[in-house]
Amino acid sequence: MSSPHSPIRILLVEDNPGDVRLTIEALKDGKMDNPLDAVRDGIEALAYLRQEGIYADTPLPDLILLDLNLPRMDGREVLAAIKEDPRLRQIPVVVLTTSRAEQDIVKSYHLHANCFITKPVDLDQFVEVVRGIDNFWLSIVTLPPGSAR
Amino acid sequence: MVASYAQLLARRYRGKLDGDADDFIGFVVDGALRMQQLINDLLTFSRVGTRGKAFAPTDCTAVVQRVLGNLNVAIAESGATVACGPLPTLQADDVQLGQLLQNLISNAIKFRRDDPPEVRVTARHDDSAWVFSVADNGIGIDPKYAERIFVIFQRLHTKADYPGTGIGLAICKKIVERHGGRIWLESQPGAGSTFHFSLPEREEIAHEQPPQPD
Repeated sequence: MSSPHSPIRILLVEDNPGDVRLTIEALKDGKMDNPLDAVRDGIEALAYLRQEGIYADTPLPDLILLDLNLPRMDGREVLAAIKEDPRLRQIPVVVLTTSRAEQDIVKSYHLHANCFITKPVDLDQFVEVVRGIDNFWLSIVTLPPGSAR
Repeated sequence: MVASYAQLLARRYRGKLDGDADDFIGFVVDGALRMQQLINDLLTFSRVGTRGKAFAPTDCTAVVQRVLGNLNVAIAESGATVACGPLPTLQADDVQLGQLLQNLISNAIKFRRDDPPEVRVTARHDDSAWVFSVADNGIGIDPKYAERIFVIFQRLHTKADYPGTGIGLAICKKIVERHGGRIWLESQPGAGSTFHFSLPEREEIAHEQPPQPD
């Protein structure tokens, strides 16, 4: 994880390149320039977080934005794997999904998601949400102190 | 409508605005086409129960021939060969049987390796049912996903790798189950896949009503 003086890193787990770009544009709109890495499915997300293969030298993110509907290994399984792993469970996971289904909300909190956000369809509202995430998790909240790899 | 205007926008303005605009236009076009496909597939899925026909004697070989006609572009572009063994005539909804076989054969062609796809459609009699098999030499599927792939929207690949809505196999399963059968997969990654489905034999009854939708 980053030291107190380096920018806070975000990992976005999202398979739709259009949604990845929207999130980047929304962060840019709010003048937030945190380093953001995007991975396209759950298996890649866990490889990133476990620093396997090409991710061997990648620092752990400080915040994870997680879509639920992903190919191969879906977001719910990724969430469970993160929160069961003692090395990873302290990283806040914001579930950011198009779903409004009650069972998805319940299941996400049951699997210890830090919070659940339904992506607004409207762009302006989406920018507000992304700004809100950045403001709350990266400015207001105190994140766990950086841990050595 | 949305997709058409998105494409018109792309056609007229691509390269005339800046790089970001080109990216955004690309996302609009892709998104609009995908939504259209999703709506069509969802309608097909929901209509399996509500618009199914009564079962009637169906010549499965003729159904396969019709399906291959529908797929002739994909077959030509991929250099695919589709071999068909002797198939029975049985009580079924011929339109739905066509949808079922078309989805399976089109998947066999889509999820191919570098070699031209080779697809074999066969049937054998087993007890009081016919068991059909659609076998391919494509990329194969890890057996741990064997149940999951039949669940609606569950995909194993991103849309960038292979296009698709994740509804095709859910439609196949719904059709097979409407006919009283079951569908399952035999596969190993890199070693092709075989999809099997069973269709129980039915007595030909003059005004047979298919099972009620669930």
